[in-house]
Amino acid sequence: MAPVTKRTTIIEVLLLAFFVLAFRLAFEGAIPFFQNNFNLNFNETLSRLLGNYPLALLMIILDFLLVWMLVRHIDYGAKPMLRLLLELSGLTVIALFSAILVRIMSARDGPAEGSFFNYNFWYTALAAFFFNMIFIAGMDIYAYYGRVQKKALDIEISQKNKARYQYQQLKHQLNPHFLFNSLNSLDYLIRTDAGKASEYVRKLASLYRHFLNIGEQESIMLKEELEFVELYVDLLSQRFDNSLKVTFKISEEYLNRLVIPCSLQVLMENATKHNIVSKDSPLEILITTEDDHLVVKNNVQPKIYQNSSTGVGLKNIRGQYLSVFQKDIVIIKSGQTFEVRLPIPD
Amino acid sequence: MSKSSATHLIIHSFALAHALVCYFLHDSSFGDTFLLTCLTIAMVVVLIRLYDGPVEVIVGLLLLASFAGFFLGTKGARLIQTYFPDLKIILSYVVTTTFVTEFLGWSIFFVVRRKKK
Repeated sequence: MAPVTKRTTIIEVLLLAFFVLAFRLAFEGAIPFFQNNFNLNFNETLSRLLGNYPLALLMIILDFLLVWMLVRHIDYGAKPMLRLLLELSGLTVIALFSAILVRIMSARDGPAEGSFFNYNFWYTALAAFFFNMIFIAGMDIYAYYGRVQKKALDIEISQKNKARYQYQQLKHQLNPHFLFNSLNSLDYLIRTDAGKASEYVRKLASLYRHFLNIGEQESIMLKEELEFVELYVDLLSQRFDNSLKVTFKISEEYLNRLVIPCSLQVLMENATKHNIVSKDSPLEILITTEDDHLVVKNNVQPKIYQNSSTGVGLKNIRGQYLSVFQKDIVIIKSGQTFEVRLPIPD
Repeated sequence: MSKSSATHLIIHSFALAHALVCYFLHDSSFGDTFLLTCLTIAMVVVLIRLYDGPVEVIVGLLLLASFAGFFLGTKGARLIQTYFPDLKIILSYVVTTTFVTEFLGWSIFFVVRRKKK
C-alpha cells in the first residue's frame, strides 16, 4: 500500500515561516555588517565562489546527491522534520566544505591571511550556504512537482486498469458461452438426474450471487474466493465430466489474506479455454500457497484449433494487482506446465 | 468558494497589500522590507495551506519566494527607472512589487496545485 502522508499542521507551517523570516532578516543584517566591518562584499564573494567552475560544479553535484539520497531513502510523508533537519545538516556541511576548499586554494595561491577560519572564510561559507540553499530548495520543489505528476499519472493508470477489469468482469458475468454450456449441462441433468440438476441450479445461482456481492470491491479474502472457485469448479466438472482435476492445497494461515476478486476463476477459465480437457488427456490444475503467493499450475496440452490468445485476462489481473497491492504477478511458462503466482500480501 | 476563486482572491489581495505597504512605507524611516517579506511569507503559507504542500516544499517555496521577491523587486524597479526615467521612483517600486507578487503567487500555485481526481 502507498505510504500514509502526514499532513503538516498549521503550527509546523507557522514555525517554519517564522524560521525562514528570521533567517531572511538575519541574512539581510549580515550583509551590511560584513560590508561595514570587514569590507567584504557579498556579490563579489558569491561571484568568486561561482567563478571557480570546478568548485561550482562540485557543489551542484553534492546538492544533487543530497536531495537524491533524501528523496530515495527518507519517506517524504512519515518523517518530514527529520528530512528537513538532514537536508539542513547536509547543506551546512557542503557550505563549510566549499569554504574550506576556497580557503585552501587561496592560501596556496596567495600570501598568508592569518588564521585559517578568519572572517573571509565564514563569509565564503555564508555565500556558499546561500547558493546551495537556493539550489536545493529549487531541486526539492522540482522533485515534489515530479512526484505530484507521477502520482496523477498513477491514479489515471489505476483508474484505467480498474475500469478495464470491471468491464472484463461484467463481460464475464454475461459470458454467453458459459451460460450456454451451463444450460446445456442443466438440460442433460434434468433429463438424467433431477437431484443433480437441482444442485446444479443452486450452484449456478450462488455463482451469480457472488458476482453481485463483490460489486466494486477491490479485494476479497482468499477463503471467499476459494468458496467461489469451488462452486465454479463443480459446474465445470459437470461439463467436462471427470476430465478436469482440480486440487487445492491451501495453508490455513493464508485464508484471511486478500486477493483480487475472480482472479482465481479467470485463471481456471483460461486453463480450460486454452487446453484440451478430455478423458484421454485430463487437465490437472493445482492451486496451492507458498511464500506469500497463491500458485495456480496446470499441465500444458494446447488445443489444436483455438483463437489466438490476447492475454487480456492475465493483463487485467496484473493491472489490478499493481493498482491495489503494488505487487506484480509472476507467470512461468515451461514446455509441460503453465504457472501463475498471485501475491497474497500480509 | 472554489479553490480556484480562493487562489485568485489570495494572490490579488496580497499583491494589493504589497503595493500599499510599498507605497506608504518605502520612503519612511522604518522601510518596507520587513513588512513586504512578512507579507510574501504569509502569502506562501496561505497558498500552501490551501493546497496542502509537504514540509520540504513549504521551506523551499518560503526561502525562494522571500529572496526572489527581494531581488526581483529591487532589480525590477531599477529596470523600470532606466526605461521610464520620468516615472516617480515610488511608483516604479509599487509596480514592480505588484508584478513580482503576482508572479510568485502564480508560480507557487502551479507548483502546489493538484489535478482533479
